[in-house]
Amino acid sequence: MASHATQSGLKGMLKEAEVFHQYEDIEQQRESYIVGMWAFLVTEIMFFGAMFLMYMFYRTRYQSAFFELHHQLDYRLGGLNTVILLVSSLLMAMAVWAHQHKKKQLTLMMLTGVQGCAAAFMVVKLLFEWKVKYDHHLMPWYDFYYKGEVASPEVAKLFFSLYFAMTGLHGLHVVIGMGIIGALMLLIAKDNPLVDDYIPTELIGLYWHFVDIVWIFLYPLFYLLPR
Amino acid sequence: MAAHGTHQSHPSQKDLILNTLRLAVLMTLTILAYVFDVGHHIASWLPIADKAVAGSYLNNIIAVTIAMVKAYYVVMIFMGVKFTGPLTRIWAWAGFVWFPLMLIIFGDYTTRNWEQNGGWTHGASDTAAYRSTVDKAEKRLHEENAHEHESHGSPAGGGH
Repeated sequence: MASHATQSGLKGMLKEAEVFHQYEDIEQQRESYIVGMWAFLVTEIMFFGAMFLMYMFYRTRYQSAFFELHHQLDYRLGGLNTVILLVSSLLMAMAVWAHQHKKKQLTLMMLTGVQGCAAAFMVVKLLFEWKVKYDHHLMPWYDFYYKGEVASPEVAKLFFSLYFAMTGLHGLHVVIGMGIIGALMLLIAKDNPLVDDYIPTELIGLYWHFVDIVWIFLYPLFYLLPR
Repeated sequence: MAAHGTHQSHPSQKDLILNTLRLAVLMTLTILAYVFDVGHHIASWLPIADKAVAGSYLNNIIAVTIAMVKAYYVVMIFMGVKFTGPLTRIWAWAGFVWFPLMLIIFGDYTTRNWEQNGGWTHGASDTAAYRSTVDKAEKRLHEENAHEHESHGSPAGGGH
């Protein structure tokens, strides 16, 4: 098959992507990488899925207590973070598009934007949300104090344990994402042969969109918890 | 790999921007549904006895349905599953097989209390049948303990 997907002579990224000997053509090689990434994402879905299961279990058991407790979370801040991640997803998809079209500067610009969004997300999370929980004595493992009408301190502790475990794990994924996007940017800036093809950007993009999807579910489940 | 070349293999810029707008609209909808408590409003029009519970269920269904639609569009457009070959699609959908599986596990947890078995969920249930089973077991344990103490010369009766 003629390699219609790679073109030489474009500014920035000049080199052709190498087809390794075990593959028939560049398309098969790319598909293999993408399927491999999806296999990884399947394990991630199972990982987060177990936490969502735990959440569902306690949520059905303590629905009214959870409803009272969710007022401790600010849905506007959660909404802001949802918008930030949505924009970052768009920028990430644009970065993949730019890398496919071998536009090096545009790819780097888009990835910088993604990094900015990720940093903004973590700032909102750490300084405006977790910090406030700390001030309000709502960290389950440290100086916890809660007095409510419906929710007992034990259930409150449970709710905030779930909150910190799930948003914490998600936040950790965001930080890991920032690390690998940073490494990718470095490779692209230095014209490393690893990024001759757009596939590394595509795979990191898949990871990043997955992180966005997790937040899409976390947001309504914690911040928009219905009565 | 017959699928190669016959498909457009990537979303265009227009696809990406339209998808972002679509997701922004869905996000607005989910926040509006929360702020205006839409589930309870719908429930108040329905001929159902327990409107509070029905409203709560509806609210949950609305929120999770919107989240699932959003996830669908992220997977299809941003992650490009719509534009890829069948092999990638199978893997992408395989990930979400976990969700029905999760519901089955969840069904197991929620129905454990229905069984009249004082075994593994100590204190988790308040049904009368469950209580009596536990009480009987505890009584038997106390009797056995008392017996042991007697044989050691100290009759300690029912120390709760």
